[in-house]
Amino acid sequence: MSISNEAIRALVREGEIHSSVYSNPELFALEMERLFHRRWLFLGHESQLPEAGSYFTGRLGQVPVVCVRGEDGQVRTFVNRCTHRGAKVCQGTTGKVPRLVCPYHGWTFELSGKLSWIPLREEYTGPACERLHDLHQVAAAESYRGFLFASLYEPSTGLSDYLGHFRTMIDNLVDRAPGGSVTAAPVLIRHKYRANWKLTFENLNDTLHARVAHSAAARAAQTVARALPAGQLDQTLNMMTANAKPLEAFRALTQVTEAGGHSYFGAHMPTGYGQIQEEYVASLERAKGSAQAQRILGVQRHVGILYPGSSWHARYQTVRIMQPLRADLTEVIGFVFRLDGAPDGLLENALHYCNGSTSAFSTVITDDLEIYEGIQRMANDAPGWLQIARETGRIAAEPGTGSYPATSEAYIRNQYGSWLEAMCQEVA
Amino acid sequence: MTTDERARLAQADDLLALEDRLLRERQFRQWLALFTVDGAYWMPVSPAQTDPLCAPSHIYEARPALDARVERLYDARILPQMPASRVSRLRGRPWLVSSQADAMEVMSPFQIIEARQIPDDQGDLRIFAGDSLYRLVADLDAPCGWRIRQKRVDLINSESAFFGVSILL
Repeated sequence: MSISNEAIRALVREGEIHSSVYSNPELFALEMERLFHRRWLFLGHESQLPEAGSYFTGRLGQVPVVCVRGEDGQVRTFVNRCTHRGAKVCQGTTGKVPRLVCPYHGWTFELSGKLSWIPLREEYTGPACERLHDLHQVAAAESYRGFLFASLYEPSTGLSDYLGHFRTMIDNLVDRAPGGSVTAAPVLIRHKYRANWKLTFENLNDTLHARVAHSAAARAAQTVARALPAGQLDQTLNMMTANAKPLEAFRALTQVTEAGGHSYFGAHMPTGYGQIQEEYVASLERAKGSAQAQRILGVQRHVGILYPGSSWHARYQTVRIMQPLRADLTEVIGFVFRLDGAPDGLLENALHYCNGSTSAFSTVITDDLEIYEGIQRMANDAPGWLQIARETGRIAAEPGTGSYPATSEAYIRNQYGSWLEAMCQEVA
Repeated sequence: MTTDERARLAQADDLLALEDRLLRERQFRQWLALFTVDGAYWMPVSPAQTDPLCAPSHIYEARPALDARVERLYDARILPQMPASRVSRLRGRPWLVSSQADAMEVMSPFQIIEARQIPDDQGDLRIFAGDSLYRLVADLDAPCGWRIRQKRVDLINSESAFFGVSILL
């Protein structure tokens, strides 16, 4: 690669980044190689693989992979490419097969990835034919409480160290289930935008944009809400109006950052479960005891960022994968989870958040997507320095573990701290 | 088809033509008034979805959340509609899916082309195509004698990852 570590470091200076971090395709290639191919990335959930032979496809950075449940019950993650001529082995986004059979020449792999049959095996003679390979398994794959994470190459830390304190985002999602587990809803929802993947991460904990960028939605929801009896707002109207809070209300919330680029901030949308609250809390108390149930429900956070791959919202049972496709093209994939053992109506409340935060037709995120694309066009055509300076200098320990008012841009600086660490490492 | 069914279908056809005209003329509040007070708009991700409350959807909004979607379209500062898209709508004749005394379901195919009108996308057109299923209830006070209880829109590429969409299909 032609970009030196020195040149990469020069793109991030105190309180500023250079917008070519969004637009330079060579940097993007380096991001794939040094960040996305060496960090733990969330791929999906064990409940999507109910039986031996169940699979779902996904990507680790630039590389298509497939997660398959084996005859032994283990989930393995393979590069989704036949070791013969490179055809895609598993088709579509999900399915169930007795064996993994390449659709090109019929090379057949067991669910464990072991090559079990090839046509005209007897014609493979001589030294070059020793190289008949099993499916390529990624370097690291592990489940945390049912959520499947993988890394294409050996990651620098174990999954547990990678998650760190941010395991509590996942814990709180699962702990909210009276039955002790969650199940992925059978449909994933996707949108994409013509801009860099980092713009979503830099937006998700940005409380300042909400009342400006989403003002049309907030005004519309307020107009409708005024005509309704108090307390009759559904989740969609709640989300649209929550964004209109005064800045002081956002400033009073806490933003938490940690090494690795992760962050979250305190809940700013309704934390109760509406009409189903009583029934649900009772079911959680029966399962966990009152004190434990209150402790679980007392963890009140808005969306959390697990850098650089996914975002997590325990209260609204929603997880999103941010999937970079090109420097200027990103896909976002939304999952919503049913809390096992909870009353049936509980999913409805979460669905409105999942739809509103992941649908291309959302009355909220269409604003964000428009803004990302505008930033990207400017970064492509006229790159320059951008600000990430709010609340610099107040706390000495950036980047890394920290606690700030939720209006701080410390979480963005924390992301670039982790980004630089990955981008400037020497990779063999 | 009975004479009664033929008459009903003609009424539904009139209602859908009115809907198209209102959307075409950007009379979104009048469009909303074609729905019942608890009416809903549903655009599932998968054609296999039978319940909007079991899995995510591109849109599932029952009134009054749907009212907010409509009100937003009138706001001068709706960023992804500055300027407003130009939209061409084609709709096929509806057919009867089911019919009861005071309710019926009709299906109608559509093709919609959108021009975003932003300088960077000069000439870029976007196509939306699929079938709309209308669940209608009889209402003597409603235009054409029927109101929309639910409109379900199935896009032929519904599982795709879409770029942001701010027009009503």
